[in-house]
Amino acid sequence: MRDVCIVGMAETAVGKLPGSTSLGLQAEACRLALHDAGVRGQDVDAVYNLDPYTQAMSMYAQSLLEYLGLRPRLAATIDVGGTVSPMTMIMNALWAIGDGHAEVALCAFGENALTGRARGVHGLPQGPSVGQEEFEEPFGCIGFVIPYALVAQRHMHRYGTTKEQLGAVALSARRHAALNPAAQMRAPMTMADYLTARPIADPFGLLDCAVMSDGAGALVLTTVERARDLRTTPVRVLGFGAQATHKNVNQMPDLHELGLRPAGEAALRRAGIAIADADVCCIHDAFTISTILGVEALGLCGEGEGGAYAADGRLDLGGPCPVNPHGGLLSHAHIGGMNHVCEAVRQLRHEAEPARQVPDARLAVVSGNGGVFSMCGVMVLGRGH
Amino acid sequence: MSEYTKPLPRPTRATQPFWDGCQRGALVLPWCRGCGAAHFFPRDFCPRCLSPDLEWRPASGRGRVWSHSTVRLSFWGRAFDDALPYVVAIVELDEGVRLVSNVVGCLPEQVHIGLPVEVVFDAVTPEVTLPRFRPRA
Repeated sequence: MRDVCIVGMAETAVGKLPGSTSLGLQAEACRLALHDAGVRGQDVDAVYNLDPYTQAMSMYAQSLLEYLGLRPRLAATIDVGGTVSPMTMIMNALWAIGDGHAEVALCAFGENALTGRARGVHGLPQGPSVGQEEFEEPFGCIGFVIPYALVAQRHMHRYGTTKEQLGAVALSARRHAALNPAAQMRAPMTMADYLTARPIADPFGLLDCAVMSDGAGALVLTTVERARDLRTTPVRVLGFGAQATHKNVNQMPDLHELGLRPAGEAALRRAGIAIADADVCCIHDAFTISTILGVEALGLCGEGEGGAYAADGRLDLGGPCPVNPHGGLLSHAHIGGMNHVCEAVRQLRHEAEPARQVPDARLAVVSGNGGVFSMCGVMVLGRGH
Repeated sequence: MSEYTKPLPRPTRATQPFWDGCQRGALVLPWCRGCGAAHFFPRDFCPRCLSPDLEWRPASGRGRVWSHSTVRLSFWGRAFDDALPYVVAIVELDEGVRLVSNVVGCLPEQVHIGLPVEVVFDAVTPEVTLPRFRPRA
């Protein structure tokens, strides 16, 4: 296997981007990422992406390569769930390049989920179903908020996690977003703001939930050998682990049996590091409870201690291992977790704004939970060749 | 009577006996003759041992709340507005399987994890009866 690294990374603007299309956003992120890497489009011979969650699509990698005028040998759309999708794109790129099937690969996700979405909460049904139509939706268990609320409620019951501890996650994400000019939600948030936010599904209010976003991100990978001639600081994939357990919340195992812990253990073992070695973590935080389960599963604290960990301020910049220094899905943007990988790359390249750059970051851990912790994945990224 | 606008199940070959059971007031589950396990949601074969040799049998209809959330905003257009707030729960049946349903017959504040519940049948249309759960003594 040839050694492979990430040599290009770009994000579009995020937030409300009227007139944008999902395909156009993905293509723009790819164009910017190729420019960042200093690689020509014609050199791309593998394209991996994810189709929009908010519009029913097929053969979306082919749509993207056609838009970009590419003629790659390999192209596939990979849909395994939040942040694990980009990780799985990266692994496919790594395997393809490593095994000599490709030299340069593009990985992309983006959508106009905010302006292009069929109206959800107060409008029409949400379009392509993420839940189980027959055994969940008739009971009003629809979308992602309610399933994650069921997870949070069980965590509170088992471990005594409190609403204020969930709030600590939201506040930390917002503090980080305030330092990030690209973030969607930068206004200061107090615990009172959090506690009085509009109730959605107990224990969640509005500020427990990720933002909806238009936007896109893309990565370029190639061989380490080729990367030596490029201008960017390369980032290596040092380890990856994943674990699937189910799809719908009615089939979810209990909290201590979720896949994030074994995924994390596998990724760290592959990388040959301990979690204490990580300089920064990007944890898929579609809901506040996700960060709490994330820090527990990665071993930053013990089982059931994630709420106290957040409330002690240990997620913050300046803490032992800052979590989501871009503001996460809660306050930066929700682009299917692609931005978590982009942020990890940015931190490892030391290209974040000084106020939120983790000093001398060399190892980043990215964790993802697609569906309702249905497909979990953890990736360890390292700075340099 | 106004039209029922909430989402309805569309039974399949594998699930029809479950909904037929609800229609006649019985909570039935598919049991595997191969390994002896009950499963839910209903499939064409047992997800534990992949045997297609299944037998539908009545369940106790009793269980406990495994988790719950009181929903305060409609997620399907405005279709659930008239039900707000309503309780979505994962119920673990005495037979060991878990399913998503609603807890009814009490205040949302009275629902807690571990609450003993029993099935009640709600004929939401002439064709569809949903199994919901209420606290039991």
